This record gives sequence, C-alpha cells and structure tokens, in this order.
Amino acid sequence: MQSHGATVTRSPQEITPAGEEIRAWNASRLYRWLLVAPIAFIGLFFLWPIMSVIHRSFVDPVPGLGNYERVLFAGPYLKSLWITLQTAAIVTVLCLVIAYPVAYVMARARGNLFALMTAMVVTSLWTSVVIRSYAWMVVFQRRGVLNQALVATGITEHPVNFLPGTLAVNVGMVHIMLPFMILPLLANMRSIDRSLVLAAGVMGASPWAAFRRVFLPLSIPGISAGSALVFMMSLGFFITPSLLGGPRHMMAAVMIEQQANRLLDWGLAAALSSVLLLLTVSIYLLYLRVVRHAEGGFAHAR
Amino acid sequence: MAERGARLTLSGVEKQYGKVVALHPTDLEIEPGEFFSLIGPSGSGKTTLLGTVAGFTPPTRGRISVDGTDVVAVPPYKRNIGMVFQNYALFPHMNVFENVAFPLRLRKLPADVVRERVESMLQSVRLPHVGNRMPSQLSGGQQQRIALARAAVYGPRMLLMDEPLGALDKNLREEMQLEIKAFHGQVDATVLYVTHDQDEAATMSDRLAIMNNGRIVQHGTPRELYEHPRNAFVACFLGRANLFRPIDGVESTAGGYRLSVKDDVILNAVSARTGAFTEREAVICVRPEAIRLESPDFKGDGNGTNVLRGTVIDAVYTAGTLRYQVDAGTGSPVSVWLPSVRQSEMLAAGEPVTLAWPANATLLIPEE
Repeated sequence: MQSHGATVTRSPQEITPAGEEIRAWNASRLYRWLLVAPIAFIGLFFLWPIMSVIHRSFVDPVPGLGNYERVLFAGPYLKSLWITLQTAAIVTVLCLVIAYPVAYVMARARGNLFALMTAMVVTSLWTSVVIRSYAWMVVFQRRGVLNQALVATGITEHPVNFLPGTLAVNVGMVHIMLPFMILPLLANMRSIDRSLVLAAGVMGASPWAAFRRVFLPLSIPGISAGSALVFMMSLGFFITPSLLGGPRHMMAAVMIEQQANRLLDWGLAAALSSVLLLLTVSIYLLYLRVVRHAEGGFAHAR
Repeated sequence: MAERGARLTLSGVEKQYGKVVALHPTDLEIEPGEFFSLIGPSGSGKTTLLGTVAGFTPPTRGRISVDGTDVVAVPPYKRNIGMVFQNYALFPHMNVFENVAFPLRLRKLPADVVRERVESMLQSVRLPHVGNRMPSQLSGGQQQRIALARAAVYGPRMLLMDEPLGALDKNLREEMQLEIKAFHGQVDATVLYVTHDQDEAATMSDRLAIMNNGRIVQHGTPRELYEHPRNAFVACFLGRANLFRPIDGVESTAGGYRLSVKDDVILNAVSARTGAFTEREAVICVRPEAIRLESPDFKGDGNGTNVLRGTVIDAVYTAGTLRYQVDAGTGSPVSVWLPSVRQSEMLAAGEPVTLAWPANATLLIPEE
C-alpha cells in the first residue's frame, strides 16, 4: 500500500513548457489526509479508553494479577463468562436456524415483494432495543400473555416464573439479533447464481441433493459472517440480559456493570472487560481464518 | 448405425405465462444423433422451448417424448439429459475434476470408474491436466470445454446447449464451434443447440429451426433455409437479403412470375409457392452475392435475366469481397457482394452501374 503510493507520486512527473516541474494529481495522497480525522477520533475515544481499561485491570487497586486471579478462581465471575459464551452460542445457533430459511426465501423474491420483506426485517432495527426488551417483559411476566395462555389451555396449573430467567434472555436476544443474521445471509445468497442449482438438477441431483452439494456450500461465507456478527454482539450484550436475565442468568456485560457502578470494584470490572475483549477478538480471528479458507477455494469466481 | 442418441418429438407443445404466450403450439421431430439448432431474435421462444425439454419450464399443453416416452411429468433430475449453460454454470466451490465428477458421484458410481471416466472426458476436451484447478483459474474457452465435458460425462443421449458460446470473443467462438462439432462426433447424443448467431447455427447444424414471436417459422438444412426462405423474416434473418416490393400486381407466367418494382423495370421471379400472389403480401428476395455487374449497354440475354441500373453510393472492401451499396430507385439501397478476384478495380461512389442476376435467384416470397 505504502510502496504503491510512493511509486505513483514519483513516476508521473512532467516538465511544462515554462520549465517548471509539475506533480501529477494523486488521489492516494488526498485519501490519506481524509483519514486523519477518523483515526484521531477512534484513537482518542475508542483505543485510548480500551488501553486504560486494560491498564487498570493490572494496577487497580494494587499492581499485579490479583484481579485476574479473582475472575478465574473466585466468586461467580468465571461462571458468568461461561453463561455468556453459552448464551451467545445458543442465540447464534437459533438465529441461524430461523434466519436461513427466511433469507433463502427472501433471496428468491424480486421487486415489490423483496422490498416489503427487506422493510420488515429492517424496521425491527428502528425500534429501540430497550423498548423491544420491555415488550418481552410484558409477554413473559407472571400475569403476562404467555402465562395467561398457558393457564387457560391447562398446560400449567399456575403461572410460571419466566422472569428473570434463561428462556426469556434467549428468546429476547434471538429476536434482537435476527436481522444481523438475516442480512449477511441475504447478501450472500443473492450473489449465488441460481443457474448452478438448475445445472445440478439437470445432471441428476434431486432438489435436496442440489441444495446440500451446491447451494449450502456456497452459502458458507454468509453463514460464517452472520454467525460471527451475532456471536460477537451477543458476547457483549447488555440491555436484554439485564432486563430479562437477573441474577439467575448473569451475563458478563451485566456483571461488569454491577462491579463498576454498584460495587465500585473498577479493577475487577476492568479485568472482566479485558477477558471479554480477548474472547471477542479470538472469535474474530477464528472467523477470519474460516473466511480465508473458504475464499481460497472460490473467491475469484464471478 | 445402431443408436446415435435419442429421438426427440414435440407435439403441440405450448407455453403461456398468464395471458402471454411464450410458445405457440409447436411440433418438432429431431432425429437420433442430429445436431439441431434453434435460432431467432431474443424473446422468440427458443429458450422457452429448450426449457420445456430440459424440464425447467413445464409446458402448458403438449407432449414431449424422448425415444417415444413422454417426459412432461418427469422432473429434470430424472430425465438424464445433459445441458451446457451460457454462463457455463461450473460449481465455483469444486475443482475441475469434482465438477466433471459431480454427475457421476450423484449416480453413486465406484471411485475408480469415476476417475477413469472423468479423465477420459477431460482428455476428449483436450484439457487433461487441469483437474486440480478451480474453474475461476481457467479461461472462458477452457471453462466452456469443462462444461461440455461435465454435460456429457454420464452419457446422456440428449445434449442441450443454451447459447454456450455467447460469452466468448469472435475468434475463440469460431474455434469452439468446430470443437463442439467434433465433440458431437465423439459422443452418442442428439444435440439441441440454441443461439442467436445465424453463422454459428449454419456452421454447426445438420438442421435448424428459425423462431420468431413464439413460433417456429421454418426448419430445414442451412442450405434449404438460405436458398428457399419461406418468408421475408427468414430471408432477412439468415444472411443478407435485398428485398424488393412490387408496385403493381404480380403476373403469373409459364416459368414463374413477372412483376414491376419501379417504372419500366419488370423482374422475372420464381417461387416455391404456386398460385396467385397479391402485391401487398409478396416481396422479392435477392441475395447480394447473386448479383453481378454488367456493361452499361447490357439489355438482358433473353433467359429472363433481370437488369437494374443504378448508382454506387458506398463501396467497402472486406476480406476478399467488394461490398457495394447501389441506389437503384427501388426504395432501400441494393447490396451487391462481389469476390474481389473477379474485379480489378473498385468502383467509386457516384459511378453508374448495371446490375444483373438470373431469374432463378429472384425469389418471390410472402411477407409473413
């Protein structure tokens, strides 16, 4: 990148009739200047705070690995991280199972129907996560719609305590994360050439065989992008678990908030945050590996 | 010759989308082992017709039979037909070997049989060493050959090709035409080939059908269609045609017809059709290479040779042929193509010329 830019600046030099040297207009130099503001912004308001959190996890209240020892060996912290990973995994799998057929159908739709379906998916993003989580509280509460239905149909004798609880957190989070799975899948599936599936059919593949051997492998980039996105967002998710989860389903972000805001144990909160960050980055690196592996095969096609 | 492929019979095959008719009731019989092309402008129904044979496009009515068995109710994957797509439709996530092996693996053939057949197929498309490459690493022409190998590797007795050379440049296209033709000689399959390129169809086909507006207008050998077009559409679609419209009635004579295309110019014409023509529905078709130049005082030779005088308006030399556009006062300019070896000097625009051509190269055909 750098060396490329350098050659471009050096080579197109010309001498004007007046004898002065002019430098050709060069786009990459302008682009580099355009980067200054965003880099400064990210550095100041994103990277620096992260650095200071990581720093604090090692020095507050006393220098050493004390905070990490507590995260790993004492109290409910490790369990909370485990619950976080578990919840993120369950939410990702459920989102994938629900989103895949939806995206499959949407990818085949054209014109107005497609616009309508996309609008339905995107509209849910316009409503605040807080409001949507409260809506689920209404559904799940002791005298809520769900309990009324359960009692009325005689499935249970007494209302069930869904709140706070694991089921409510999973359902709420799947609802909120669904668009983040559908959209990458949709983008990927719309780029899959359907004539490949037709071709497989002519060659003797039943619809199921054509799906399994052709369409499904070609949709792996979409599956991995959507899953990585949902999984990473779920790891750090706060509002829904805090409203629907409570102490019985304490996810990492909620735990961090408690340590920082209520117990004022900033060192432990910083250590928990750092572990969560490390987890997220590892997942992302794993995702990159998967994508590069898939691309090695057929990125150049079309 | 025992079996050289399947016999394909279409009877009354028709396709409608709502009220739009994509294919009018069509009958067609393709002989075993034949190379048969469908040509026509886009939207003429040729891809619809191909789709009904492949099974993508269920016909609204009619019977399609392969070797006498009706296949209309059979889904594509049970028809055992091979198909080459315009964009090749190679699977981007499989290497070349796996692409060609795909139909064999679906048929659950043992691994050694698969290997042997794929390798011999790659051999016959002259690409024996590309098995490990991904399709994206091959050139367009190579991808096309792999698509061909994959369509034929399981020995289908019917091969469909949907504009397979549409995406290639001209030189490669001509090379691939010969290659596909040679390939057809090696495999025992009937080929149904769709193209909009009339040269391609004429080069490759045993017989071809010209389609327009959802109908087969005429079918036959390339020579039959070129020399005896059924109507003005066929004449213009295959090669270049000079069309003249009669200004008065069409007079029937002993050997053919006489009609006037301009004051004082009477042309002698022949027609495959017998009986009377009215001047409104008839046109005269003369191929540009049938016309020769004569001396200015040429008055005809008594054998019914047609004579027309005019002025050169454009002269172009292309690859051994002199192409003139001559204004003869008959409406649109007349094209005249002469082999350049027969004429030492090229006429310039503005020079007067006398055109002559025999009566039997003057075809009186219906407009529609």
